[in-house]
Amino acid sequence: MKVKESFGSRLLMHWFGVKRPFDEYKHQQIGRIGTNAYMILAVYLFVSSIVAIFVGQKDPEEVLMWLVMINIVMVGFVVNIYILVAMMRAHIATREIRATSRRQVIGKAVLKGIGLAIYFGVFMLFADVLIDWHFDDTSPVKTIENVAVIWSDARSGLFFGIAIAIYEILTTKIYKE
Amino acid sequence: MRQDETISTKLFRYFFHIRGVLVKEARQQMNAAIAKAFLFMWLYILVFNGCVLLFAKNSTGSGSWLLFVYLSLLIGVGGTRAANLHLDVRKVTPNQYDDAVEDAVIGSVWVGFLGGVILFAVWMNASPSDRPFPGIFAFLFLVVACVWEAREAISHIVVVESDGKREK
Repeated sequence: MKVKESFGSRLLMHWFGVKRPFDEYKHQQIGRIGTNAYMILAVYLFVSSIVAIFVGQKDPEEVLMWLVMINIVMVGFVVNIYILVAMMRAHIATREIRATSRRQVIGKAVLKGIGLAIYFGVFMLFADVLIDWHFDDTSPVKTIENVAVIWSDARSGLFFGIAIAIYEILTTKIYKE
Repeated sequence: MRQDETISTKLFRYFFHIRGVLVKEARQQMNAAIAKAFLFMWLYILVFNGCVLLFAKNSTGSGSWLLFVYLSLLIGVGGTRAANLHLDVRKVTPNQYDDAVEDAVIGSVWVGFLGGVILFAVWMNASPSDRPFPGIFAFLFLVVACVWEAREAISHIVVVESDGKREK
């Protein structure tokens, strides 16, 4: 059954990477997974803040850096991996296709991977320029001209693009007619 | 029936302070709202990390970073109540009222005790240690937290007519 979609709900579905059509089952599953992830994050925020307040009195800078690292691990690994596994189990990330359109889907996935690899590589290059400029006062032109930086960002983009293309291919399923 | 609830439902109920009946529709409605709140929380952590990495370099004292940490604490605590869609009302019959109040008081003592201990510990740790009478403050924190929680719980108990009368 198709449900009326608000902007917020469409944003949520796109953020979770759910493929159209957004039916009621998908909305329910995203609600359930989002709630569990929210509970994990809320408990984590509560506990980490208290620990940081206690420990951070002596050496705030070091504790703050630790907090940032743990935040990245918590969000990037624990929560995001939970979401990925839960979505796989609920079969809401998969898209059913006909056997005849498999080649076409793979072509689209590869194109998407190439596009996102370029976007991500350029984004990483800008991020490197900003970080070097902010922290080391390095001239932006000097960073852009640095071959090592460009190569490193190109590799990041390539890795990201390949990961996205593989994910797109793995989340398609041929249905039996 | 509350006795037949799964562990995840019980956890959900405690986490979001839901005392009333949690029907499937209400749960789905809450899930939809909380999933959106999760998105904002995720973004908040991202912004928090970005701000810390950008501004920590120029920060001279601990005051500025503590603001972020207190904000996280507030979101962590407040988040458990923010998504409550008036489901914390517990409906009881007149003869069940005393038991419901007893339940509310016992539950509130535990929640209040924990909240009071954490509040006091944070307050004493974050402030200079030369505060007088820490014992009295600790006791006051506990009492205020317990009374506040019990008042909230009891005010959400609603007496309705008995099932027999309703059937008539």
